[in-house]
Amino acid sequence: CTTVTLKGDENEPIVVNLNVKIDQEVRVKLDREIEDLISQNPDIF
Amino acid sequence: MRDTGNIMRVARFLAIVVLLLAILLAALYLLRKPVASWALRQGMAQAGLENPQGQVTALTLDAIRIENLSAGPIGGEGIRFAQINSDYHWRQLLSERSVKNVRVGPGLVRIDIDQQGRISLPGITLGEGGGARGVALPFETLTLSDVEISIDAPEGQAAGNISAEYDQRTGGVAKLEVLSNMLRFGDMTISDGETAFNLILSDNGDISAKGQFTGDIDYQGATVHALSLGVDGKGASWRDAANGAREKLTGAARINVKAPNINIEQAEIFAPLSTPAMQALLGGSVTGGAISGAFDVTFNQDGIKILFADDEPPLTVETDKGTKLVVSPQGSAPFLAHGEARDATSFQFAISGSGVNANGAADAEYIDGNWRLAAPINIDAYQSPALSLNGSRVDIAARSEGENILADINLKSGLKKLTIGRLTIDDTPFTGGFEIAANTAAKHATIVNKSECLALARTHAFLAEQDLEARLSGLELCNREGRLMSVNWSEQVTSTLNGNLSARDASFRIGQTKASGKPPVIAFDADYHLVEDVTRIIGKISDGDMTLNDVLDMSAVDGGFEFVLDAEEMKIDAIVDNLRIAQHGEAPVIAPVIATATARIVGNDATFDYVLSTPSGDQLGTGRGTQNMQQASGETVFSFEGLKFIQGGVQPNELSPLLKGFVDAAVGEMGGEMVFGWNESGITSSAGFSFKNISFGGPTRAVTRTTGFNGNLALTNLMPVTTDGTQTVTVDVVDMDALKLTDGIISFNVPGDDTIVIPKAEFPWFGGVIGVYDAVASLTGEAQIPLRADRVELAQIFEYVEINGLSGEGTMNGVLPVVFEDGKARIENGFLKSAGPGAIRYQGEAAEQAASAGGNAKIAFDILRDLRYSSLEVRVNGALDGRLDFQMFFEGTGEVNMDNAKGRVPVKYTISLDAALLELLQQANLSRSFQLQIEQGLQRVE
Amino acid sequence: ASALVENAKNNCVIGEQADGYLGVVSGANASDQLRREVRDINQQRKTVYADLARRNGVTIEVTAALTAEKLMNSATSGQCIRKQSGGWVKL
Repeated sequence: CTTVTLKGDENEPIVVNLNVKIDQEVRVKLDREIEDLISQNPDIF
Repeated sequence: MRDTGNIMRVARFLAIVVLLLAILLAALYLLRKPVASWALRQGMAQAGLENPQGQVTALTLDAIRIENLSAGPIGGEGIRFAQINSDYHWRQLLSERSVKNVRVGPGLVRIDIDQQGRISLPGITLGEGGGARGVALPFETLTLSDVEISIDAPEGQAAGNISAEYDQRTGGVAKLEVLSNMLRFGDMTISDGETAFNLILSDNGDISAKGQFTGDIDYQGATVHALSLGVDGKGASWRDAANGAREKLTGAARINVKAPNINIEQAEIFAPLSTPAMQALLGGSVTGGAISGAFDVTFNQDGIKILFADDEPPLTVETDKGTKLVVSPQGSAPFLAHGEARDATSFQFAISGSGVNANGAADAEYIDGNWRLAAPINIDAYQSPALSLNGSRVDIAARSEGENILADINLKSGLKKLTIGRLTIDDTPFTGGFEIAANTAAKHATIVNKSECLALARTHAFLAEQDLEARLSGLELCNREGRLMSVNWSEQVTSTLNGNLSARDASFRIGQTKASGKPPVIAFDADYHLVEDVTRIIGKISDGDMTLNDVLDMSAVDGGFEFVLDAEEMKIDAIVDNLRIAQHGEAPVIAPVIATATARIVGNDATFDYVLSTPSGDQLGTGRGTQNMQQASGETVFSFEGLKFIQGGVQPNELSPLLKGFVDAAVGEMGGEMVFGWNESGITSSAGFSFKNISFGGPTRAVTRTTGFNGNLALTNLMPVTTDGTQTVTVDVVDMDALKLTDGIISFNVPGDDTIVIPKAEFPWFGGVIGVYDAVASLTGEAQIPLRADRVELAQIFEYVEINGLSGEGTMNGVLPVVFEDGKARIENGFLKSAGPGAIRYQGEAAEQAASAGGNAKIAFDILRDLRYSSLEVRVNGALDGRLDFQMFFEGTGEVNMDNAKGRVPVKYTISLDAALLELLQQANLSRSFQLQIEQGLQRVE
Repeated sequence: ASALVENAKNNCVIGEQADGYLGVVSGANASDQLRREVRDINQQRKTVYADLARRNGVTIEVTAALTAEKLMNSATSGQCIRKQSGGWVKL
């Protein structure tokens, strides 16, 4: 998520704090691929 | 008328004849003695006597006396009898040609002995077979009195006398005595000989004979001092013999032999007794000894039997070295039996002395040309330089068929020591049954193990000069090509041992070079030439699993060897078609390989050449080396060119398990040379490798892949890896997931103390350079390597991340410390600082969305549309394979569109980007999904 | 995996960890040979995690962690696993 705060006036520089957070909501999609990964590589899992 | 004349003439003729006869008879009567003497001489001559002399001094119808009868060569005498008288009845004389009695003596008979010991009466050549055979004696009684005997030998002389009284009806007595101080004929010399012999023929037909000989005999150098030989015999019936039926003669005699002092020092015929084996038997080089024994001999028409006298001590033979042989009867069987069709012997023996303690028995039979022998022998102890046994038992059963000899030998051997040439085998107890087939004409014999294989609990063999020792246990020695051994003695004695030898466990040693474990199965032919003293063994070896000096495990061998041992040296040539070599121990540095090799050991030095390939058959390289067997020191150089690593094929972490988890899935080509040296203090190694465009996973899990690794590497030690000073290599890509370094030149040094020193490693990076300078890192535990970035261009970074609408320029410097721990790499407190002003411009989807959202987001992204910074610092932290946190701090000016004003305002801008750079990078290629991310982020805040 | 590794897993000498890699259970003594096998397996696991991550635009940590979850769920009793919180747990 992104949060932005603005402070200060004309003479003071504007302070910008931009937080970019990228979450990975990819759990569902990978599930089957993980199963395949494990089954296709028996000698290392 | 006329016939009366005839009658008258006949009558006159008859009268003349009668007259003549009367005169003749008268003359005869008057001249009877000279005529008889003449007739006697003629008779003697006819009987083969030389210049017979003798006068008939009395001749009557019933008696005759002859005086001075003699015969013999001129100048010498054969026989001379002063007087011979005989009474006869003239009718019996004429019809049966036998006389009543003959009285002979005094007189002399001379006997000659020629070189071959044959006896002859000089002047008398006896008829074929010496006198009538099987014809009844021509007299009823015979008396010999006062008859002397003189025996002449080629050297020396003996004298004696003989007296006898014999009456056909009542028997008789005869007595012979001969004395000689020295008599020599051929090789036999009898000195101080005394012979006495008495014969009694009793009236019931019994014969009793007693004889005694004492004296010294020398035969071909063997002298028997004070030999005493006694004969005391009984027989029956002299009448049959007298009447010519000699074969009916039966009898028995007790023979006593005593030879207390025998000396055989100069006797060549006893030379075999001085061979080492015999010396052991006899307790040393025998110079003499003593024999004593008593036998009972019985003879009758079907043969002679000789038994040991049971009331006398057994036959004993003692050598002057204390060895004693006692021969005694075996049950009731005769010691010797000689018959028409069969000869046999049977006895027990016991031999004891310093070198031997054994006993046994023997039964032998000889029937029309073939013999049979059975001999069980217990050897409690036998020590000789060449062979020593204890607790052994031999059962021999042999027979001959024409020129073939077949023997069956069961052996329980407590072999303590056997020396063949310079090879000594000891401590080898074994039991086995052997069949021996020998051909005396071809002079060849083969020995076969009856039960195919001979089980031996253990054996130990050593070769002193070579300091070579072999100890095997749980052995099996089996026939090979149907036989175990063959012996040939046509020219010189050669023996060949062939067998298949396998053992459960063994240890071999030449000097300090030792091998132990399960030995290979050896199919061998061993030749031993007695005279040349050369042992040659040719063999095939297979299987086996042995450890060499606790360093190398050698197994699954398949090869052949030739071992030659002669007086000067030992030489071994070996060809190995297959040998698996693995490093001994739990965690080997080098993986097992398969070798083919040729090796030659001459005396103490071995040289070998080999080709190594992987167990799956990929050839690795070739090598050669030398080994000093005595000190177990040596060196080998192994070189390999164009070794190709391919997926699923030859892999570095298979060649050296040490690299497991360090290097994986290698592709590319490598060459080089490894040198190993070893001695009792340890193993030294060095190597030179050249890498040609090699790519591999690693090093370590932290680096996902290294591609295009090129360069030469010189190592002064492989265990532990130690470089020969600083090495320089080039690499196309070092892929550490979030951080990919490309086209690098890396100089590094591995001092061998588990650290890696990197004086300099540089990679071009976003227009500038990123590099490692004078870094030291641990190879095993946690390591930290600072990456210094110089003159990095922001423009090229934004170009790389390819985020739509994002651009900028400016030069950055900084340090990214990479920490390697537990297979993971992370950047800790990494930073890039701007060197001078720059600008960042972003007009991408995110900006539009923020604009539509209005408020602070709009302003933030407005500023970003063209942010000119005076200073920019980027802080980087996080796992290279995971989330990287970026914090960017700008100070500069940005354009703001506020309701009331528009223009550039000073800005302090901080962006915290908590996003996996990796994903960021990857998503940059999938821009649509990036947008999705930002929206989600915004919604949550409002 | 090899018998050596399976045995070690069943005897709680090594176990699956939340980060998707095999680890030596603290306090257990593992032979050099076992440690090499574990290191080798982990290197190969990273390669497949990296491959899957690249194909799905996620970080290797993610694919590793997701795989770990499945591996730990299918771990049998008597084996040991190491949760995110760091401690080894014997099932």
